[in-house]
Amino acid sequence: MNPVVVRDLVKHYRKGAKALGGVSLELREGETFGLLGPNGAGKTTFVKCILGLAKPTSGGIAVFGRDTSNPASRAVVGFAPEVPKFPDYLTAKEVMAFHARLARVPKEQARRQSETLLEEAELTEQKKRVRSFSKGMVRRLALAQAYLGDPKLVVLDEPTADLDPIGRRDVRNKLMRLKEQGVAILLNSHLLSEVERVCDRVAIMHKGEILAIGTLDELVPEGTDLETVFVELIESRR
Amino acid sequence: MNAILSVAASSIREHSRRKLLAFFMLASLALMLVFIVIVLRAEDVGGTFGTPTQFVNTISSGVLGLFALIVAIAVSMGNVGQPFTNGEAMLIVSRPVARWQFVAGKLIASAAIILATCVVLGVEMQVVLLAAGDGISKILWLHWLVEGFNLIVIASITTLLSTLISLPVVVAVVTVIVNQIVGGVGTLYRLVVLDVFGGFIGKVIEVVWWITPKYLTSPLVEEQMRTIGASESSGPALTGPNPSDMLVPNSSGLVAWAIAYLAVVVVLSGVLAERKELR
Repeated sequence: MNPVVVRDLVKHYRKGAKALGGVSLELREGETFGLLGPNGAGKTTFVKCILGLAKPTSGGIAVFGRDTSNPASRAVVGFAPEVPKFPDYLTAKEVMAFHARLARVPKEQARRQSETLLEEAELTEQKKRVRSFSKGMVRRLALAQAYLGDPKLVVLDEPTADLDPIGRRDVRNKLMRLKEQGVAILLNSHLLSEVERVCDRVAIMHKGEILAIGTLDELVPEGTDLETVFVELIESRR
Repeated sequence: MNAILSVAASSIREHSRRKLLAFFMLASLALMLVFIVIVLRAEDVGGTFGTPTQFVNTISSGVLGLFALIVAIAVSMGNVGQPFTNGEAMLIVSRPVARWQFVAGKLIASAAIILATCVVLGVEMQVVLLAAGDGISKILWLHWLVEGFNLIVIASITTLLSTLISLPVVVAVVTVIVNQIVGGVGTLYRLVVLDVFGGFIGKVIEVVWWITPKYLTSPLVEEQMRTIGASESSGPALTGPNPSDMLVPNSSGLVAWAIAYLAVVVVLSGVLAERKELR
């Protein structure tokens, strides 16, 4: 079963602004899919619709065959938002325990995974509370909680924002490992080089519509690169 | 249920680490010590505040009631609007958690903190009474039980308002205004019961009274009003019927209505949260 199936998704915000104008796509099992687009293209709204965080104006979305209005559709989904926000007074360990409970991860598995993920994220300091974290630490915590409970789909919105080059490399390595484990990944990023390195397929969005979709080989002609294709495509629609 | 309790536990942990709650707890402890000193100086209590029991009752229904009200509003004003705006709720409802479960968890946390506050204040006042040589005061404990229920109703109204307003400070101010309006409507209704208002205006006031939140009357407050009514003769509210009789035909009806109102507010908060856009 495809992790995500989207058909003619339209989203208008209350003030009438059109965020998505009939988007259709499928995310296949074990696939790493990159969503590209300039600011305001509708990428984050698309992600929110998939996670049931924003309600579509029309069209259909199924996550593992379930409608996104059903919270159970998010049972095996991990998500790290573009601007993560955690309760200020909790520690990283407490945040992980909280999200493990919400994701219904068995206690012992949650404890083990939590330890490993926090070590990987270099967030092992026991007493430090989230309010005193740097932006990079909050980002690393957001990514760590997204991997809890062996998700079958991981949705990452600008996962490398606020991270230094080492942090970015670590994220890439983690994505590669998830990919090897057969986890489907939806990557929403501005960084084309990053997308080029890890994604099997990409879609280029602009003003709420998909301008192009396919594998990198299909979208990028020989002798050119993804950035050139992206810029030309967006410029042609301005 | 697991999701609701997880949100509640996390929220209680978060609140318990805020300086505001710690400040209130320390302040209430300091007040208790001050009150013990006052009641131990029996002549001052007798001359200025009445007997130790009267003093404790006055304090419980007065300054400590306000104290508990501030705690109730403080722990519920940011229940929905703020986490829905700053992104905190987004991460939680991206899990298999419905928005109404998030709201229910937040409300349970508020209720638990309010009840704990009432217990602490009740214990402190009981300690003051024991220090003065009095025994266990049943009416004092009944007062804090009723106060706890009323504050949970206020917390649920604050939560409902926070589904409509994002800024916690504005939520708090509107809650206080709503509370004042409810008080005003209650006063007007008493005047209707006493036949000061009648006819169309009386009917309108009656309808408005039925749809506004109902708070239970504390037995302690009731007793104080009876005492005032017996000692003074002017003013319709003081010479009229027993306050509990003025509110509804019988007190079990009032309790049922108050519980039904609380349920409606809680359900409405969940429904509004389900419809709210996450930013």
